Amino acid sequence: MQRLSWWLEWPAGPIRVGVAFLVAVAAVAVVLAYPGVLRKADREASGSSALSYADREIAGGNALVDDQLAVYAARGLIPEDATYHVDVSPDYEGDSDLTQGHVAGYYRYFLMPRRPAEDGPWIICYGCDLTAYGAGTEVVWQGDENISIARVRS
Amino acid sequence: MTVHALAGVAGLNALFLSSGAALLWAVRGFRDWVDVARLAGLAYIAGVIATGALWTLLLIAGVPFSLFLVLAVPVALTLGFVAIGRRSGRSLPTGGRLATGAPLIVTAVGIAVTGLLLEGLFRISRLSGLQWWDAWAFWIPKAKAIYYFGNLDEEFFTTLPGASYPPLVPVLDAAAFHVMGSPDVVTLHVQYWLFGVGFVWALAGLLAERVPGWILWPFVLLVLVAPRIGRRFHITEADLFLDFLFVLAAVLVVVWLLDRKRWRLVVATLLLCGMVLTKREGMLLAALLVAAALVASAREWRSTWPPLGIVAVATALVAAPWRIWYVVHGVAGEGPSDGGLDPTANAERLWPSMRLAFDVLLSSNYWSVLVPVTLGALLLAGLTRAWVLTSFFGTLVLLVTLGGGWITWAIPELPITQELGGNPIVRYMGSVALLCAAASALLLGAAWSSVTPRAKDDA
Repeated sequence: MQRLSWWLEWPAGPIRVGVAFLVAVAAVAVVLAYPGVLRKADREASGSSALSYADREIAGGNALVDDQLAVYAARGLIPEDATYHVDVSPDYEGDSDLTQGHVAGYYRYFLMPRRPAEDGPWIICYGCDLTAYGAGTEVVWQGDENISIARVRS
Repeated sequence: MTVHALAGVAGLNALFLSSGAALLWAVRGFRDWVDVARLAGLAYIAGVIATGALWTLLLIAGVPFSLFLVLAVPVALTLGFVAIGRRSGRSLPTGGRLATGAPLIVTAVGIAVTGLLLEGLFRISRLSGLQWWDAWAFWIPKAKAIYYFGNLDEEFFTTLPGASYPPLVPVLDAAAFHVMGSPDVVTLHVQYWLFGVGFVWALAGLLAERVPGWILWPFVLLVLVAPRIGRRFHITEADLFLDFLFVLAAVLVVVWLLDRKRWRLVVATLLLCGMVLTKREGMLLAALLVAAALVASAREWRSTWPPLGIVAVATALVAAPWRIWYVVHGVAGEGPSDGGLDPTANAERLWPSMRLAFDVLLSSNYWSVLVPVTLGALLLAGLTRAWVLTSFFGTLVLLVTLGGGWITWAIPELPITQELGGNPIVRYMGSVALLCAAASALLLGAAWSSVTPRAKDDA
């Protein structure tokens, strides 16, 4: 332990006090935040481990896709080398107003290596008008949220 | 998440560590095993960048990205650096003695408390889903494209959002997917946590050379508890990864200005190359870092500016291939559409943009007390005439903050807001906040040693 005079001698003393003070400020900030960070880590880890497999795998898409079965059905039905198109009706009212603008991007991520294409033979339809794709269009999966997956046969 | 996936990630990261350790041994050598342990974090990060940058350049050159390439590159780098080290006459590390007494206790407590926090962050990582828009909208799709197609698939790489962003991070993700056996985006969070652990270890190891433990550890821990830094270690995006490289490069460069050990500049150059292959902001941050080094060493410009010029040229050469690729493929550039250099354009946005950057810098909601403490540390180090450290960090903090203001000002589409979805300013300013942790420790360490005879003797 240093004597008081060591902390007060000029000009080194005030520098020492300043260094000790700033380190103390950082240390106090750590001490105050540390338990909260550990508690938050516990909460987040518990929340993640309590998720179902589907909730964890779809994650950010849960706010967009409206029906988890739709993304799994699309992945199961559309061959990996096929192309598809996500058609969202302007009138489609999903659980979230994010669906309209972002669901196609989510499918692009989730369905890779399948490629999106405007003229793809597979249609992931969110309330869209499937008759516009012609008479050869076959609905191969129908969900509860006015979501369907169809295949256009040429 | 499977045992296979976790084992694959462990194996890949062991290869990163071996290639980086071999690199450090070749350019620097290791005194003893304590020296190896202290620099293991830096070795790991250097290995990630050496391997990742080479994968990236090979991919841009058209070499198919396969599991063979993923394994062959780090193995070849390890063997190559070992051969260079042997030819340079490097000897293997032997023995090693730990410090004793109070410094040992402080270090042991610091490592234990940091380790506990990192373990908590690991538990967040291990079962986390892919929640973040940027991650599923383009970072991971790019990685999946590399994994599935083995190349920079033109369709995905020219149409995804952020098309001009360099591909180092997706390449690292794709390598992880290969060793996991599938694009397991849940396990991928563990890979990002490992990058965070490597950074903390590297930072502590580098600073421990010059900063007493009682000054060092509070700032290492502050990095982990700051709301916008440590708690984001597992997020599968490039922002924090870029900040890690920036801060380590800054520490290496400023300490090189003080001791002129050439290995520091070699590793800093590697990290700067990693920065320009990671994000478009990496170009800006790398340029500002070199500019701050030029300013801080102006009095000795004859001996410092030529090496710094070589660093800048090497970094630009590594940045060029990706820029050529996206220009050839018709992707719009990385900067503002009008160049962002006309001071009369968007003049009404200039002051609000700069103010926004400084508001974010000074926000304790994001960075805890890091920034005010750094300002105090700059003052104390200035009073003790630690000119190189003071001018380097003072200039760099100021330039990077002004750079943040410039981004908002020069891109009129960006709203002047801290809203994360609207303006990248908060993410960008993470680089300054993280820099402040390293700067505070170095500045306070320098101020303390200048007024404490025993610390001077130890140094």
